[in-house]
Amino acid sequence: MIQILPNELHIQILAYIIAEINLEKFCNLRTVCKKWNTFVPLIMSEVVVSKLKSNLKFGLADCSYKTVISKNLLPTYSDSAKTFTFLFDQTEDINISDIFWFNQEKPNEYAIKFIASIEKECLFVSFKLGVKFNGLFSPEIMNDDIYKCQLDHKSNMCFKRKVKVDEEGNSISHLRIYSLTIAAWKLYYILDCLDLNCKLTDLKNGFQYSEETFDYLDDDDLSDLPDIARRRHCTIN
Amino acid sequence: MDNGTSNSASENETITLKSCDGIEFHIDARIANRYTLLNNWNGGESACIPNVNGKVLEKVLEWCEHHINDPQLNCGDDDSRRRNTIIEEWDENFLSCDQDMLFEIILAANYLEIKPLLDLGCKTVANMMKSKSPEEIRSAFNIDNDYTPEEEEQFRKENEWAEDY
Repeated sequence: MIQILPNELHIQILAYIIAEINLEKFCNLRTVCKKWNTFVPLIMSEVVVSKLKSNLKFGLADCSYKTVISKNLLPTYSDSAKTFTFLFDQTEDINISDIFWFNQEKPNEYAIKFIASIEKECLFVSFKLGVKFNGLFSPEIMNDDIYKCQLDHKSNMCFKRKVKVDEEGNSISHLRIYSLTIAAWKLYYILDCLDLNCKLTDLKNGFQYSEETFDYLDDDDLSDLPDIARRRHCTIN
Repeated sequence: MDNGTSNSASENETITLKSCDGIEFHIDARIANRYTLLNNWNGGESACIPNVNGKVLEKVLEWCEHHINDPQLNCGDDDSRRRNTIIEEWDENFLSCDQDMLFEIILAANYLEIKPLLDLGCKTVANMMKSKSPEEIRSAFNIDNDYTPEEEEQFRKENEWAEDY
């Protein structure tokens, strides 16, 4: 009998359901029928965007050093790829050799690893939960300006190349983070965990809360770090 | 106190509504005034409401009568209503009917643009579904599984959330 309802009422019913159950469980409702397979992702992406718009902050940080690269960004959803993509408009310039070639020389020692995290502020505390990504290796050149690094099965980070001319007239290439694409389920998982308003002791592998992620480094500590790390110890709004 | 029900019709005024199967209902004119679509039809002494049969129209009007003094909703109330699925006891009892009637009421509320009743109906269905698995939802609401076994297998793979680790 529910089939007699027009599509917009199916969507309305699903919108009430998503307010009551977690995103992981809601995601499974796609399997009910083909019609719902179309509606469920639409509602999920709408909810994710509205959550990030209201009381949650998305951030991308260097895993080892306190570097917040961007905030308050809203993602776009791709249903075919089941991913969310965050576009960055203002990030710090990164020297190309720092990000790629340096890593290849000493991948285990200095590989720059990133954490995409979401912060939620509750009454007295704030929770920041992030997903860890592997280091950036073997960039794929998408075109003259865009370099893409695959972080895992579905996640990737793109960098945009910019050429600047220094005072002596030399052209120097710099990279800026252009986008981060993250598997949808990872974002759903983070949002589900943050909705609990307390820290889980048993997270899925690859996720971690902020304390373990963004240990503050004193200036004294910085002297022991390689150049690249010192330069990356900064915060950009 | 102004409860937001700025109906111009008086309490004694009545209007006759006729369902698509010819059953007449004499209703308080304030009900018609409250809902745009009903109001559009009450130009004459008797108005016919196509697409809604007598049995369903009776239930819809019963709900409207019970809620005649409720404050009118503002545009901004939409989001806050969507955030919860709490249903008052009277409404819960009112919609404790068989599924066919429940969906007919939802359809009628949608057709007649009685938004609070439409929301209530959708919330009721959502509450019935929220603790069920996809298989249980299919079975409880008689939804055909239109996936092929291959498509189901594909889904199972897609939903293996920790596939990257």
